[in-house]
Amino acid sequence: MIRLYDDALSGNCYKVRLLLSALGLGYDRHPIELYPAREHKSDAFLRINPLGELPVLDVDGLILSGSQAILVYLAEKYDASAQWWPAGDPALRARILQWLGFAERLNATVGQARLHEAMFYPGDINALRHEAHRLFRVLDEHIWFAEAAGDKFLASRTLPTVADIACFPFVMLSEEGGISRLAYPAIRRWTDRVKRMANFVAMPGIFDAGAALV
Amino acid sequence: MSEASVSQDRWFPLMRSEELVPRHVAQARLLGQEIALWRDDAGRANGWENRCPHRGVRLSIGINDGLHLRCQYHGWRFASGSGQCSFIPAHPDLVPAEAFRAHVYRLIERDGYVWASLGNPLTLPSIDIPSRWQSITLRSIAVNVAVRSVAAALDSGYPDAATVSVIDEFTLRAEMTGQEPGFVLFLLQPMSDAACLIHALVASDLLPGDGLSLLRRHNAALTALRDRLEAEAGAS
Amino acid sequence: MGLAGSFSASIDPVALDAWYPVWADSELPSPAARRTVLLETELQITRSRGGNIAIRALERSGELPVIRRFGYIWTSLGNPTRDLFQIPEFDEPDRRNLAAGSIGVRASAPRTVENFLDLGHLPIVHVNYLGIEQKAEIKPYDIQITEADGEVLARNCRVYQPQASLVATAGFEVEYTYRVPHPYCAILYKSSAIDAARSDVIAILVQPVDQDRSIAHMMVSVLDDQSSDKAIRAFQQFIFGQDKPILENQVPTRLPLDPRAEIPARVDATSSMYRRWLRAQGVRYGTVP
Repeated sequence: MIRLYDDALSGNCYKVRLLLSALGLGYDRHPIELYPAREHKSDAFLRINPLGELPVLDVDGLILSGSQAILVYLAEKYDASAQWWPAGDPALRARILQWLGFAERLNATVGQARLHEAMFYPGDINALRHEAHRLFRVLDEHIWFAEAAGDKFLASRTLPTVADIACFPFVMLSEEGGISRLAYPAIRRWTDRVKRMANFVAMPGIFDAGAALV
Repeated sequence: MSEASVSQDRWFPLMRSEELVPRHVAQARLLGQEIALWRDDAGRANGWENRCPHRGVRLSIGINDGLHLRCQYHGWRFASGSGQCSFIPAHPDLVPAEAFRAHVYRLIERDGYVWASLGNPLTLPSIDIPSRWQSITLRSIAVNVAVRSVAAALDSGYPDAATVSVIDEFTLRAEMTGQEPGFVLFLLQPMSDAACLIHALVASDLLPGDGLSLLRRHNAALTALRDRLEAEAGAS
Repeated sequence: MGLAGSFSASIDPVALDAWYPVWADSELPSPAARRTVLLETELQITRSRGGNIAIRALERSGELPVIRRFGYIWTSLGNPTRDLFQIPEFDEPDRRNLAAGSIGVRASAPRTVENFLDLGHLPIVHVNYLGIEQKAEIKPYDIQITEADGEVLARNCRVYQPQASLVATAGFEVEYTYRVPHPYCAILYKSSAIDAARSDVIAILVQPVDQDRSIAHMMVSVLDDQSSDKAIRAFQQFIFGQDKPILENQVPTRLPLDPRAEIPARVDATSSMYRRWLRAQGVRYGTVP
């Protein structure tokens, strides 16, 4: 049985909800209130995850924390099609891991800017935005050249991997932190493609895309 | 914008045509004005003021369904071409009044670009390329400095360019030696007083079969220019 | 006791002299000190070990007035001439009264209030919760300025909702009443799923940070003996989270009061009235006059 400790407004939790939906997996959702109760810092939750962070996944007693680890575990264990975490190509896996690392940097900048604006988390908002734009420039350039080579996703040609799942939420929520995507047209096209993945689910702050042209 | 009104009646490229993909809404800014760009399923490109006339929500977060742009707030649908609202979900039997219309800018596609004007240009944009030559549009580069700074920087030189000449305040041409003899045309789009988008087109009778290395080479040159200008302005 | 005269000329007297929510009572421990910004002015809010609440504007000496109402701590930077509005339902003994969260939003206070009053977006932005697309039609409703209190009041608003509240077991046509008793506060009375004769009360109490940003303080007073506090808060935050990208993508950020700037349809009668009402009172802060 899969249990997810989750907050509906958390971008990191959304990564896991998105992959769970893509994999068609049922799960028990255990809400942990980040704001205002700060339940993730409660004694009870710290016994589950001493880092006091969401998401946490419990699969029949195996406890995993951190969205990166959870995404890779779920894909490895449950994805029969091996789309999300393709096997057999160490270079591809390494590239996907690079993007999972990049997603952590988005979390620390774009994600933090969002928390600063919406929930008054501390931080140097100008520095966060500056670094977020630097990361977006890197991402936009990568996607543009990927498109030129015929690749629709960050590390793959036609179908998304966990690299796309990991980077998508904070990119899509960037405006909540005052980071506009106007200057990143390739990123904007990529987000439409991610939204059109099979079994996509949204979260507050993210809209569904309309149907693609067939 | 402090630009003279002559800029209002001029065409500017906003993006490469091939990047205006179906069922997508692109977001551009020209002379301080945001524009929502979208292509209908018949291929027609639209460029509208990026603001729903109802309650001011950006049309660029809306949905392109192939025939209409649907505003994300109340689901109002605006028809391709006219910008006229054709459906209001809260009043499904109502024929929406003429006043419910997106503000439409003049748009034209040629030479690989989608061009827009905020006003009423008297002529069409044109790029002269010798008849036996080919051209390739490069990745457009956004720079957070005023367009005149970019123009001045390009005027003073570009890698592998024998000379660079100023055609007008938004257009420069570099005569290229080296791998693709011919020219690079720089088309500058003023986004605002402090930001500009560099569009560039390479024309040559000797374009390579695999364009990727050419695209990367120029991308590197233009991003280096961007980084230098922004560092100088303290704007990076 | 107000501090008028030291602020920018852009703060009109109506906005300056109003009461504003600045912190949830339950979120201010004893002792504690918190900072926030109201009308471009940085405030420090403290609760002493003995429970006493004090609020100061950091730039100057003296304390600001403090009242506690609806689960929130309120203050003013000016000279309030009237008492803050009342919500009698809040005192009914079988109610669940909660501060449901205070969320920063990159939109002006009037835009935030107007979104709360908006009916047409319920089956679109909040699809499958507060409406469905197949029943998006909104029939005419009644709108007035009340004679007694001079408040905006919209009644007989009806919308089909598949999940009107946490205790709703089926979809039904919900009746809404909206009340605007303050330029930056709005109250929704919606028919209870448990007792058709009574209403759940949900309020948005907005703190203008500056003319382009605000903090939405949410309050609920509901008939619900099943749901946890956490679940009630989560539902309100979820709904507001869906509104956020809309609010943060409205251009201009400030609410245009000129009726020609944005074109209303008939469903927008409440917002049209709200804009006229703000204009008639001389409210300017957060608007484009």
